[in-house]
Amino acid sequence: MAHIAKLGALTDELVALLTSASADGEPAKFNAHKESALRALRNHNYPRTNQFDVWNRLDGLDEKFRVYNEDQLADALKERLQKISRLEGKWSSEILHLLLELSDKPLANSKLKDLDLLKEPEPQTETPLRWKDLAANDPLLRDKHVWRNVDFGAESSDEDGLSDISMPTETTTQSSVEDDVDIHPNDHVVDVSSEEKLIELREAQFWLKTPSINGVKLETVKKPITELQAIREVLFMLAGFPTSLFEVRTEGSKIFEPCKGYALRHASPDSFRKLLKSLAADGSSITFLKSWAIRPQHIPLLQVFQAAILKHIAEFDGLLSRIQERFVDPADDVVVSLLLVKEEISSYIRSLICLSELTKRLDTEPYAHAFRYLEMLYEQASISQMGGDEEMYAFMGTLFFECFQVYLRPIRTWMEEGELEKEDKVFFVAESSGEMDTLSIWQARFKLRQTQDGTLHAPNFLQAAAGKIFTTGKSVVVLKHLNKVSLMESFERILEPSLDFATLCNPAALQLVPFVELFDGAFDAWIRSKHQYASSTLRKILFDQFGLCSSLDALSGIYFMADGAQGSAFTNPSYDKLDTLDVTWNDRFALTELARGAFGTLPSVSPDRLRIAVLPLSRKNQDIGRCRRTVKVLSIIELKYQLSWPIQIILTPDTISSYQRIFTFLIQIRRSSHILSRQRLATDLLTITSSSDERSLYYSLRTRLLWFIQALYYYISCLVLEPSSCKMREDLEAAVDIDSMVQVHSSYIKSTVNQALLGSKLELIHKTILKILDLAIKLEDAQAANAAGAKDTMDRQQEMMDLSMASLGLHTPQKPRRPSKFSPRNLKVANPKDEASSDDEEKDIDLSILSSTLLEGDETELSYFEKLLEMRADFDRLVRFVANGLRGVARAGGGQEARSWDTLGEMLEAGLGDGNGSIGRSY
Amino acid sequence: MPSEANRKQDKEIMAAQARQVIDVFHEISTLLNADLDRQTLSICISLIENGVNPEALASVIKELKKDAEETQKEILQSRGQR
Repeated sequence: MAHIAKLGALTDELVALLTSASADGEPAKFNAHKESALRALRNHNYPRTNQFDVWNRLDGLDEKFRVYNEDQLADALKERLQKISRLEGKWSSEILHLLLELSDKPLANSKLKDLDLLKEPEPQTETPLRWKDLAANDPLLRDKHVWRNVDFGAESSDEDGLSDISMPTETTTQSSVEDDVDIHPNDHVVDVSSEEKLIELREAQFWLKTPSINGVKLETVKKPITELQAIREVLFMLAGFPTSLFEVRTEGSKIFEPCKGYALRHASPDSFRKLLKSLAADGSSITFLKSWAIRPQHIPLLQVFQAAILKHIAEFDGLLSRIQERFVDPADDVVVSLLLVKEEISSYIRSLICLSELTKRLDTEPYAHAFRYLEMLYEQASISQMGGDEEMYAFMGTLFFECFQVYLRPIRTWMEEGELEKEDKVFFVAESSGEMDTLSIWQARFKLRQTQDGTLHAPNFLQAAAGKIFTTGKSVVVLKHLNKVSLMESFERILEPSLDFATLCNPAALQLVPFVELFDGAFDAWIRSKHQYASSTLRKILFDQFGLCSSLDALSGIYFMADGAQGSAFTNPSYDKLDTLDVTWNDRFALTELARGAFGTLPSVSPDRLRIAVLPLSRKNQDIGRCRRTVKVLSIIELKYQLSWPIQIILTPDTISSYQRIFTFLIQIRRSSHILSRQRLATDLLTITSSSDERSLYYSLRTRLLWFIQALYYYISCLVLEPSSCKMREDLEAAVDIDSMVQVHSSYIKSTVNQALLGSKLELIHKTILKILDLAIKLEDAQAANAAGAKDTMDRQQEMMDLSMASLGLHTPQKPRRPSKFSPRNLKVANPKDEASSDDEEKDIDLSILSSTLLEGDETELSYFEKLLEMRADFDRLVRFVANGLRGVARAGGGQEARSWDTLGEMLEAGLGDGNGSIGRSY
Repeated sequence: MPSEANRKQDKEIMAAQARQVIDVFHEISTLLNADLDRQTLSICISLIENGVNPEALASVIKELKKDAEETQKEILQSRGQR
């Protein structure tokens, strides 16, 4: 009985503890529990505990812990079990069985720190620092050894009772302190003394109150709230916290919506709802902005924007708390009005909403560059200024300039140092990869980054200034290469003007000036302060040190043969070689020697830099006889003059090819001129060899040709080359920076080429002119052949006369006999013999040796006179064609080139008109 | 009397030992996540020492706990609705 009574008592206690229903409070329940418990305890079918089973299970559990890497848990368990086995309790295995049955996923749920929770010997109020706080944060502190040795400030002497057990790693040590105070949940209960405060609190929790009539809950009636509560809710919502008055919908970003269940007592629900709706929309925008601003960004430009946004949001939060402070701790009488609060925050909210819209647009734009938001801020600032919105203008402007400073950083380094950051994708200047030689520094090494549709990768308000920025940086790079940076630094730098909103757009003074203008002006000034020195220094250096002028002189001396005597000295020997069928006429080395000798004497030319390159002859021109007949063959000679690389920045290699073309044209003209004027008329062999008709025809043709050639040469050298070169030099002096110099030079050479009839439009005319030049050669050849032929006949006649005279016994004056020449019209084999030509003086080269070659392509045997007539007709025709063509093109076009063509056309027509009276002027 | 003092000492020692035992078991129960507080544990130990079958006792405890939870839930709900 005693046993049963004991059982009963114990069961009572158990039930009481577990169900927290006392025997006094709810007897029915209690008894029910008790009865069922007793029944269960007595009538059960469970077998007796099997100790071995229990210990096996515990071992298994231990292994499981270790497998799951919970070594500390396993160790702790093992330790306790060892203690148990040492204690030799009779019922230990049963108790362990019980615990095993009650254990609920120890692997997942047990925490070692729970053990520490058990050991709370000292009452809580004494130490501010709690063991479990420390142990929770710092695993090292679980080891009591550590705890004891170092006296952390908050430690109290109550800890001294803890024993010091050395364990390898963070294992818990056992509590050996026995305190009578057990920590019990009831201890945590706060003692509430007054009921009224509780009721007040409950009242304030308006969301819990449901309007009810007679205990029936009314769901559809709105809960009444006071305005103060509404204000509080609104302020919390704006700060981003969850509230009862506003529901949060998360669709990507949080959107607030007013809850339908609340109403103000003194306002209509509709107006209240409207008000809340607008506030909710504001809150949603602000939340979106907040979430955007904390996204991680790598680009500094965006980071500074985010920082600025966060700053403003922080200010806004400050404003909210100040408002709240007013309500919470009123110093004076305070009017509680939701509308008033709304009014107060409206200006701030407006700017924040604007920013939020901006960020939303940023998000939705595809392929937005990092500086897109700069463009948007710029737009916003100008729009708000136009709209007269001072506040917004100031706000946007300050924000814009703050962020712009970061954008300016790479620009500044580029313009001052000429250096680019390697990984910077935002800046619009990029360095091309790959090794670049110094020549292409200016042109190719740096390029402007462009977007997919070809626009510059820079904000739209910087597009105009981008070119200047680019050239400044390039100038600095070139100067660095020239080791002239020190020169630049020796100039006093103007301090760069500061770019910020307050100084720039001072609202008092410059209210009405458009933002766009102010910004452009300021930015221009900023750029100029950096650009000026670099660019002008480079220009100066190019002019002075590297002798831009002398290079130009050299080029004109060489390519344009400005010094005619030297030019002749170069060209004439080659012409002579050609005429004497010397195959070495196009020998590269000989020509180079010749050129150096001839042009090297010019003051600005250094002969070492000069060399001749000879293009290979085409197959049909391989035969020297053929190729000398046309001037086209002279185009294989190319002059090359080496310029130093800084000069080459301005006088780019592609312009040199244009120089080359002009040179070719000039030597072609000279060739014809030379061949015509070589024959000295003083020794007039023709009087003997040809009739007066032939003579007069020949002379007139020759005169015409000479006139044409001289006119052409005069036109090119005096009317085209000279004026444009002068102009070009003036323009170069006046040019501001390198790019304009390059521009000046390239346009100069292009215009010159066009004026010199070498442009693509005038190709036909150019060919015609070459034909005319060929005519000159043809004329001379014909004349020589004729002369030779006539000479021959004469010689034979003379011979016969001599013979006959001799037979008669008379003497005839001996003419210097020339060695026999080939009969002009029969032999086809070319057999050049030089000794005749090298007779006498070298200037007097006899073209008669060519007489045989003349007839190679020419089957029909025209007489000399007929040939002359034919040539004359050709000449007229061609010259007329040229003149008409020039006038026509001049009429069609405009500008300097057309004027020059017109001039030449007129000159030619004038010449034509005078020479041939029957043909009138054609306009 | 010295024997009384001895007995007192013995009693203290025994009490200390008992407390130790309960401590150890409490720690084991925490490690095994059995969710028993000290009082409940001591009662259980007493019950077991009185011959109650541990499994039966375990089932009883589980049932009572379940009941208690349900009651708690009901109370909370009723409070919430108020």
